[in-house]
Amino acid sequence: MIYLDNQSTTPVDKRVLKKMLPFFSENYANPHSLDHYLGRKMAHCVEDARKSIASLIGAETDEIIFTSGATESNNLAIKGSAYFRKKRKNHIITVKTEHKCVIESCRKLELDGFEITFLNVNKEGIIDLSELENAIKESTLIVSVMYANNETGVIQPIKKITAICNKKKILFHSDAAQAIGKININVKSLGIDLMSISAHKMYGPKGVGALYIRKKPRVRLISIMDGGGQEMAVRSGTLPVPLCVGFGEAASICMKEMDEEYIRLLSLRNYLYEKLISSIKNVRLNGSLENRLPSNLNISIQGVKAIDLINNLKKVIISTGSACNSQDIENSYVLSAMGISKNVINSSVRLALGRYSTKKDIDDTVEDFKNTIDSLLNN
Amino acid sequence: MEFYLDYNASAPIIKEAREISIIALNEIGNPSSIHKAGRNARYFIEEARVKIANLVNCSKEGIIFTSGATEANTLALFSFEVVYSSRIEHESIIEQSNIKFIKLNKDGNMCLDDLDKKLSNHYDIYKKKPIVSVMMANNETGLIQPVNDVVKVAHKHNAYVHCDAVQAAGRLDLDINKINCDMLTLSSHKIGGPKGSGALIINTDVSINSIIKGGGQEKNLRSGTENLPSIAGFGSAAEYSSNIPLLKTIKIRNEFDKEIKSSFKTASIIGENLPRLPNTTMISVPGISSETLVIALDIEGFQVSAGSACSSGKIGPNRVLEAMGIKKNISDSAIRISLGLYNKIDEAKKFRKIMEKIYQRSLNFKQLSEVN
Repeated sequence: MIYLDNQSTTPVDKRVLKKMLPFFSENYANPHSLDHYLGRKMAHCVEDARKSIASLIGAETDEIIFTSGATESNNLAIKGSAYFRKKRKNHIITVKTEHKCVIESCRKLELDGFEITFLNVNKEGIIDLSELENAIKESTLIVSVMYANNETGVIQPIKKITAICNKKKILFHSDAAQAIGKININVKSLGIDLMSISAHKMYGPKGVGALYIRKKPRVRLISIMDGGGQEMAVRSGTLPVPLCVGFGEAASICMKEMDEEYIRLLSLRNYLYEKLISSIKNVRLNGSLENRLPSNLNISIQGVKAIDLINNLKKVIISTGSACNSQDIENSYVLSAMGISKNVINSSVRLALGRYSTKKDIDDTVEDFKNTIDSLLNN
Repeated sequence: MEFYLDYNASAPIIKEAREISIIALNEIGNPSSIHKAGRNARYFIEEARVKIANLVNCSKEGIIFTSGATEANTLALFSFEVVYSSRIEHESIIEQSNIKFIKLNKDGNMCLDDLDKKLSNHYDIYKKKPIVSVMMANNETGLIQPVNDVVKVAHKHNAYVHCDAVQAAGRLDLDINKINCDMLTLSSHKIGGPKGSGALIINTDVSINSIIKGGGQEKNLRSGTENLPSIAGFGSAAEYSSNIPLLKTIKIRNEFDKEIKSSFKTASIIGENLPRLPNTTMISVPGISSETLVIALDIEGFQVSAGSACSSGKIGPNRVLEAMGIKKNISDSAIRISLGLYNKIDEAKKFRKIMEKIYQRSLNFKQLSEVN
């Protein structure tokens, strides 16, 4: 099996797993039980993990809130900041190609009387900065633009977007679930106010994520889950210590290895792309090649339906795009927003390389693609 | 030696749950992906769903996995215009913005007359159907609430009922059809599963909205990639929790009560003669504050708590005991002992000896201060 679906989820790194193991056995206390030593020890381990995650993105430790994952982080960032500001402001700007949880959070706010602007993207998948600037009004409370797209890997010009938002003193949130750990992101130098992170997209465990919340000045949010008041009263509920610890270790590993891994993945991905073009006819790349994660390819092969390709590949595991939508194969709204025709969308697949992808995997992948496509086209 | 007496805050993970969690951590796929790796991952989730359905005797379709009980409680209640509940409930219930409190009776249970009265008047003010939220057993005192009676009164007035069964799971019979509530909350890490997973169980046609929106997982009621390792472990813990030797636990708990009462004449045990969880006792020996006592016990290797873990570390009166009308000199010294699978009967005697030592030291110190 060659797993090229690393944007759906990544395998847990063995080093991460090893670090988590004691927290499934002797380290079982509740990290909020500060009454006793065992509880305080757990709290300490959680704080270490928080520190590693903060370091990875250039944040302070107390700017990181643990959540159950990026979906929750995105819901909390967008709905939480909207409800907090609803008496003064009611306008939200986001993009048509955002992850479903951002779109759905905005749809929910729309029902509650908020006004939403969905920005367009060009054929490369990138927003138009002047469209953003023109969309901003007195009543705009937040701009939410994802760092890198989950289907195409296309990276938005975040620095230029934050420059606009910071100048107009509007909150900026970014769903960076796909980008963290793959490319260098520093929230301070970029001027980001809120940023969502997921552990299982960076070789950590599923079930945990984080929201970066800028401290100076503190970005205020209304919580979406109330209770014991954990996580600075922004997110109640007992913290899942093993998952937090695994997340922290995953962040440390990314921090150490990211620069080298970036170069390795980029050359591997480019090798895959070139090999695909040269051995298969009518391969078309969707989205910008230049502004793109080093690990992603989103391609359409003329005359070959994506679903047939995915189901008939012998070794390679890939998908059309978002795992959330993949249960019901619907047309990708991401590619559609890029002006790509329905036919091409139906033939589009995502290849997402990862930490364990090798050159041999790439050679085997191209072979598998070639054979499968030959047999599909000849039938 | 370490003696863990804080199972109501979090229980050690049982072996079966640990093993399956670790196997699940080695799965590669996303449970929502349709390819083989995804289907392999999904298998763990659906297995867990069946095991949890067996624990509470519900249909597996009614189980919505969440990040824990706090989320499940919020999910159950936040869509309603009005939630009727009481002040002894968990923080995640009483912090709901739509809550109205029902009085407590002298035993610290939800007062059925007051519930009846408030529900009778409900439709004079509101149009929509309300929900009543009652916990099966209290996390601090272990007192079992008259859930069946609450359900009868609520259903008589056409109100839904949600039951927070977090502390009752694995300790009391949890057949949702006998309880006859509309929704029920469970937590993994209180029954020997990993932290990070819980469930809201929907047993009737009650309709709720989702808090966390996105990819539409969990029947569109809880979006987000499923927490594969925690859910897998949760399932195993649920399967195992029907085998927990409760008679052994109750014997140890009674031994703690007996030892403390034999040493301290002024000791009180909250709700000693009322129905309580077999593993929980809240004891109070006036003279030392709860905060000081838990620290002293911690130094001696006994992990107990002054109450709910969420509010641990926050100095203040015990909210639950205050709501129950317990006298201040008693509630100020109350500590919770909550037991589980790995406690032994001789721990009660060891605990008594340490308590005697701590109280004697405190007495000596007081006498010394008075002399000076």
